[in-house]
Amino acid sequence: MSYCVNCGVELDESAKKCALCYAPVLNPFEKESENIAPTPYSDNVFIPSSASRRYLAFIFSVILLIPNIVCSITNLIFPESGLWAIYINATSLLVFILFIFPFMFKKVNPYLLLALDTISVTLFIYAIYTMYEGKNWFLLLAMPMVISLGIIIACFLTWIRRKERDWPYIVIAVLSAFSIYSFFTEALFHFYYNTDRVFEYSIIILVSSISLIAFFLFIAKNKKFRQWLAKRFFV
Amino acid sequence: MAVKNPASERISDWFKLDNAGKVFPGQNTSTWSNVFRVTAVIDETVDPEMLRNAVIDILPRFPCFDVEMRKGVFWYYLEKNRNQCPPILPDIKNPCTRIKWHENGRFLFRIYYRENRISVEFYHALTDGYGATCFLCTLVAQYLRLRGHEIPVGETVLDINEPASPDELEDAFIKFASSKAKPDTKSTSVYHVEGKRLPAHTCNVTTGFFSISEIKELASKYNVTITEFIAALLVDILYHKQLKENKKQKIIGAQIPVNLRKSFKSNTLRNFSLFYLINLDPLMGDYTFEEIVNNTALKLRCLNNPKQLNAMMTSNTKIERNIFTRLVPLFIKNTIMGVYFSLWAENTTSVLFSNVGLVKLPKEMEQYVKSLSIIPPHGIRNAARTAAIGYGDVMSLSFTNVFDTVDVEREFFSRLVKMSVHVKIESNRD
Repeated sequence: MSYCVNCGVELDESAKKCALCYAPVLNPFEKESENIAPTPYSDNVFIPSSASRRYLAFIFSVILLIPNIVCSITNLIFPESGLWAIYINATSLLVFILFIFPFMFKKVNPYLLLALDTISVTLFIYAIYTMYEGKNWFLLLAMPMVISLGIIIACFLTWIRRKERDWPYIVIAVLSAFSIYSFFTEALFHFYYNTDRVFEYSIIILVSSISLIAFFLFIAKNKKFRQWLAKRFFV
Repeated sequence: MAVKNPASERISDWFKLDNAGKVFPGQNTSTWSNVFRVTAVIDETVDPEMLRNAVIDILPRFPCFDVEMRKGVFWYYLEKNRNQCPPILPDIKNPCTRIKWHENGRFLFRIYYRENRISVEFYHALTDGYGATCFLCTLVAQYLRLRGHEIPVGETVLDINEPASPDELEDAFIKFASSKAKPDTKSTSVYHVEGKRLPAHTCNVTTGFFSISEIKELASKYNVTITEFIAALLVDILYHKQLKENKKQKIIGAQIPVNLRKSFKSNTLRNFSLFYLINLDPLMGDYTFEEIVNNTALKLRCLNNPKQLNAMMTSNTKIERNIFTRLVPLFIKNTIMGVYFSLWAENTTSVLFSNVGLVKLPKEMEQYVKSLSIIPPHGIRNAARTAAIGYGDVMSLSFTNVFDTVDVEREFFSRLVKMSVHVKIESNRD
């Protein structure tokens, strides 16, 4: 018979620590091998199957597949109207990979999913590029934009998964990432159109972001201000 | 070896879901299962094969549980299950997980065993705490009989050689709802304890065992009943917890289910309970514990009369009887209920306390049954859902918590200890 020194409650014979305050059960007169009382609950955790998610993903895939097959066959029968079925196929594939594919698995590695999403978006844009070729915009503009966005999201994912982050810091990270990305895209555009102009709209974004970052940094550091905000803006 | 039971001669083919049970299928999700558990601890290790035989023996006596869920065009209904009995499962760590219609031999209750424990988990659409307790006690009695003990019929142990009476199978809501008055249905959004949610299908359960005579003595100091005292204590704990959180103070809402069988003469084994909502507004000013006890007890006593209960019951049955509600196809009803419950579920409840009351067993059986306990279904956003059951001089009170916090449980049992009540704790936490 053990009692919690902290809560004063009697504990189950099998308990190694108090269920209410997690204070360890220490009986100096009891050898470890003596405590063999069965626990009130089994260690086996039962998680019911979640087949419905996969089932729904399968149904949506079939729904998506049918118009694609119909369009592809129609396009093959009437090729003189151009290769318009490619748009439908490419769009459907993109929708499938972005929104349906993740639901086909119980747990997917987020980096793998991000890489797949980045590749599929790049390929989708390439499909459009094959129809509207000109000035090599895919290689010089679209592809670097999509890949750099993928890299920034991957960095953000790594940062946020390392430990639990306070929400103001998450907002700061998003604002910083957004500013960096705007600089990069503007540089790409200037390079593509071969202009001599220096950064314009990204400076505006940067200035707004810096002022917002300063505000959120103040919230993150100042507990009293945070409490005051929570009280005043309670929804 | 299963015995052919005369009760099996009379079995209803199908049942409509009772008035309270109609809301549950629409909210059967991974986060809100509406499954509760009753457990009996006996004096010997449970033999699963013998337990299976006991279930087969008693099931014809409970035709309202020997059913499976079916979909009609407008409503769900319960149909006689074609399987012999549900599988007898070794116990798990996470009780009260959802029951899917096609699993578990299509039965809407599960049976678990572990060491000397027999647990039955019921989907709330089938029955409430009273029906579940009757089933568990009859099951344990039959198990003990198969083990060679002489167990008579009586109290909560039903006679399995008799067929189920019609009043045990009735929808008592429809039978007794006759009020012309409209109850006050005003409800407000209330305070909720927050925390990090546990993964889907899991919950923390903490059960405390304490003496009924000790808690009764404590309650009598305040001139209140045990239910009123425990409900007030829970409200007081949440009241002080919210004060410490330094936020805008919201109303504390306690949901207290009430067994209607006491006010209306019914023996139904199906759902026949309603709940009261007792509110405490912290903006009114500072409260002492005595004031909270008085506030809770007075409000409960005002509501606890057959006239008020009948009005509440009638208002619920009116919704079911409404021609427009009836004509809406089931899939639309499901969608509406799903959206409603995911958005506003438990908006009006900070804490739930369900007291099944004192369970009496035949004297010959008492020596074999060590304890009874009940675990309430876990909620979506409620860290304090509690249920209690009394057996002998021991009351067991369980908390089901979907958050990783333990504040309310710790405060509740520590307060009892400080009031000189001896408490024994068991839990499924690591």
